[in-house]
Order: sequence, then structure tokens, then C-alpha cells
Amino acid sequence: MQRLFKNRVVYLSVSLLLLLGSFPLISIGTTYGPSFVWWLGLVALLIGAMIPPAQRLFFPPKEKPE
Amino acid sequence: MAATIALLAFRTPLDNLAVAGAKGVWDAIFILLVIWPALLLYQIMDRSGGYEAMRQGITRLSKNELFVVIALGWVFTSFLQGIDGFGTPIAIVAPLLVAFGLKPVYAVAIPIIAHIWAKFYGTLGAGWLATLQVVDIDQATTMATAYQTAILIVIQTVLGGLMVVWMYGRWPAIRHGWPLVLIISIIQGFGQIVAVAIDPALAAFLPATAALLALFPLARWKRYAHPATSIVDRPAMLASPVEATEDKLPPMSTAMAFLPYIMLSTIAVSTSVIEPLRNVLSAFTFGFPFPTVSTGYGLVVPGSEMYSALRPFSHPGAGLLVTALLTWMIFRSRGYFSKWAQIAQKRARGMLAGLIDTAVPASVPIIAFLIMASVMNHSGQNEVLALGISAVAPAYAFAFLSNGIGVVGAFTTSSSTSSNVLFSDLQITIARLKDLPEATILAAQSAGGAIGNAIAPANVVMGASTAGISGKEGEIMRKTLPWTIVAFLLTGMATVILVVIAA
Repeated sequence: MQRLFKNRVVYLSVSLLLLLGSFPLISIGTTYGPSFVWWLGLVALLIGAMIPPAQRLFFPPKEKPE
Repeated sequence: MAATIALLAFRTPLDNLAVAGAKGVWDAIFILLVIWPALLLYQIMDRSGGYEAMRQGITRLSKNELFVVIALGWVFTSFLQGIDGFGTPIAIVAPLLVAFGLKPVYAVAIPIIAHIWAKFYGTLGAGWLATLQVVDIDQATTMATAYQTAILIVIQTVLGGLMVVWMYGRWPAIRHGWPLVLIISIIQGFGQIVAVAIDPALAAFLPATAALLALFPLARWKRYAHPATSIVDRPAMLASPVEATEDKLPPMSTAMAFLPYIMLSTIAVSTSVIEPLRNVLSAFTFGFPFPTVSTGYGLVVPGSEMYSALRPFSHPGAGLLVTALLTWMIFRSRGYFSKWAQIAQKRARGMLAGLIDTAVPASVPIIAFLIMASVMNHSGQNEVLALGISAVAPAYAFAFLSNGIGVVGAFTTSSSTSSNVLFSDLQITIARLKDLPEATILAAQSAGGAIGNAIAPANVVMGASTAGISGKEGEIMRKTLPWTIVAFLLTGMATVILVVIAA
């Protein structure tokens, strides 16, 4: 997990995939059901959206010397 | 944060938040479809020596650094905005300016500010056409809106040009560059007013093209053909003047380096102007359904069978992708990639890896901002913001502030078109309530929607990523924010003058 959070492209790719994946799940789930489908989409959306701020919080970038 | 406020203060249920979030992702896809092919084209140009050829070619056009900065940062960016959009001009021009020797923060801030004037009528009139979709106004008001918007946009043209020159070299640059700014402003700003009479959809494209063509005779003007010795302090530039730059001979000619942009322009114009072709390409639409959702305060967002249908083949991203693929095939067949790798002594790295390295960090913030905008819209936060302004402001004060609503809309959605879609109807309603001319208030909204793009997070994030300075978005915004405030104030004053004239 630590490795994942230390590689910027990897954790942002995971975030991107979760955000993109959430969209059809929410659309189909809220329009046709069943409701667990859009819940799954909402969870994916939340996790995808939380990854970048979580990374900054738990693994803040080291200050570069001037 | 927007979702928490929506949940706790605006009584927005979770299914509403889910729908809002998903719509935000979908809205972002329209922008990502431009960013990914634009960054692919960037990779192709960068790895083939195309940018170096282009930089050397433009440098040869004039030895005057300020002229080149204006040509690339203002005129070429505006030309691209006339036919394309969705941030493409910034994604393309920012790396070019870096290659020319500008500090990356300035290389992003300059095209952002300089292309604002072409936002509303740019992308072959996308903003104008979208605005007409959401308001119910008669033909006379429509034409009055078109002209008054073009008049208000003159402020952005002049102010944009002056800001580019100011950023380059402060007062000495203004003293040297003002005739050029004046000529280009007349071509672009007043040209736009004239072009509105021909066709509002071409109102940015026509004067932007005229300005581009005007560069060739202007480059022969003695004043701009030679280096400006009077400009000593050049805060936007990285190092020494143009003629002192050590050049590596690129494997292609300048004309070949410009070929992708000629192809891009041809494709964009053809797919927009040739109606049968446009109809064929627009025939296939793609979209997802969404149900009607509401908040605890009774704000209802109607459902849709196909929300914001995407026309993938007529989307500007399709033209960019075709251009990128054709460019790759031509450059590869001529061996430019391997030749440039040898000349520049760079290790040839996978193009796909390079694309992912730049496009993924640019994509996530854009999606996040559009989710935020959609949540604010679905929960009623935008409406409360706008109605709050109108409730406390008297008629003339509202007229002054009306473009500010457009600025806020563009800031939260990173799109002038979205700002107009969100707020145009509201502006018309308030104008009627306050007995103000509808055309003037709608024009102010449209002008404000364009101005707000100067501080739109998606533009700034994308520019930063294409210029290789991700994480320095705050520095870029500090350069564009003062311009935004001045443009807002001047547009507010001009709106009041138009209201007084109409009274």
C-alpha cells in the first residue's frame, strides 16, 4: 500500500480508473436499479476522489532544498 | 467539501450526490477527450524535434523576442481557440513557449490570459450556441446580445494583449509593444464585432485568422524585425535573448513542423463548416440516462434519457486524435523520432509511458473540479450564491456585478460554456425582475464567463501539466488573478454604461 501511495502516476491512475468506473454504475443503478449498483458506484467515486488528498495527508511531499 | 456542505446544509440526499458526482465525471470526459489527444500530439512533436523546428522557425520570422511572444502566446493561441477549445490552445502553446525560453509559469499564464477574448465565440461558436439553448429570448434581443457581448469582449482583447506585453518586460515593453497590441486588438476585438454580423459561430475564428495572417507583414516592420534593445529587464524569460540561444538542427523543416496544426485547422474547419460532413459525424450520439433527483429544500433536477449526449466523431478531440495519428505516421515514415533522439542525445522512451505520465496527473484534478461544480449545482449552492448577490444589490449595482456571476460560474466549472448554461437563465430572470435590459445582462454574463477562465482550475492544472510544472498551479493563478479582477471591474463599468445607454 505504501509503495502504491509513493508512486504518483500509479495512485493517480487508480483514482482515475475508480472515478471513471463509478460513472456507469451510478447511471445504471439510479435509473434502473438495483440500488447496490449505484452504492458501489458511489463508494468507487468517494474512494477515487479521496485518494489524492489522502496521499497528500499521509505522504506529504518532501520540501526541496532551495 | 462541496459534498459535505451539500449533505449537511442543503439537505442533498446521497442518491442526488451520487448522480451529481457521476454527471461531473461525464462532463469531465468532454475535456479529457481533448487533453489526451493534445498531450499525445505534444509527445509526438516533442520526440520528433517538431517543437524545436517550430521554435527556430518562429524565431527566424523576427529577431524581436516580444514579437515572437505575442505571435505565439496571443495570436496563435487565439487562432487555436477559434477552431478548437476545451483548453487545447493552452495545452499546445504552453510547451511551445517553454521551448522558446519562457519561464514555465509565464508560459502557462500568458496563453491563458491571451485567449480569453476568443472563449465565448470560440470553438466555432460553442458558447454562443449553448447559451441560446438555455434562454428564451426574441430575435431582436438575440442580436443585441451578440453585439453587446462582442463590445464587452473588446476589453478582454486589449487587456489581454497589454498583459502579455507587461508580463514580458513591464513598462519598457509596453512602450515598445503598444502599436502592435493596438493593431492586433483592432483586428481581433473590432473584427469580432463585425464578424458577429456575418455569423456568430465564426465571430472568433475569422478575426483570429486575420490576426495570424497579419503577423507576416507586421514581422517586416523595422520596429519588430530586430531585437528591442530598450527592454533590459525581461522577467518572463529564462535566460539570454533569442539570438544567443544555442540551436540543435532539428530533422524537419519549419513548414513540416507546422503541418500538424495546418491539418488540425483544416479538419476542425471542415467538420464545422461542411454541413453534410458535420451531419454524418454528428449522427452517432452516446450518453447515459439519469433519473430526476431533488433536495430536501425542493430543488428538482430533471432526469434525462441521455444526459449531455456526446458526439464522439464531431468532438474536437476526434480531430486532434486523427491529427496526432496522421502526424505520428508521417513523422515515423520519415524517421524523425530516431533522428531527433540522436541529435538531442535523448534516450528514446515509450511514447505511451510519456503520455500516461502527463495525462493522468492532469485528468484527476479536472474530474474532481467538475464533480465539485456538479455537486454545487445539484444541491442549489450556485443558485444561493447568485440569488444572494442579486438580493443585496440594487439594479445598477447588479448590472455592475452581473459579469461576476459569470466569473464565478467559469471558476467553479472551468468552462465559459458551462457558466452560461448554469447562469444565463438566472441572469435573464433577475434582469426582468430589476427592469434591466436582458441583452446587456446576458452579454455581461457571457463576458464574465470568458473572464473566469483565467482562474479556472482545470485550465491552470492542464497548463501546468503540459508545461511540466505540476504543483505550481498557485503561482500561475497569482499571475492570472490580478488580470481577472481588472477585467471584471472594467466589464462591470462597461455594462453599467450599456445599461444607461439602453435606458
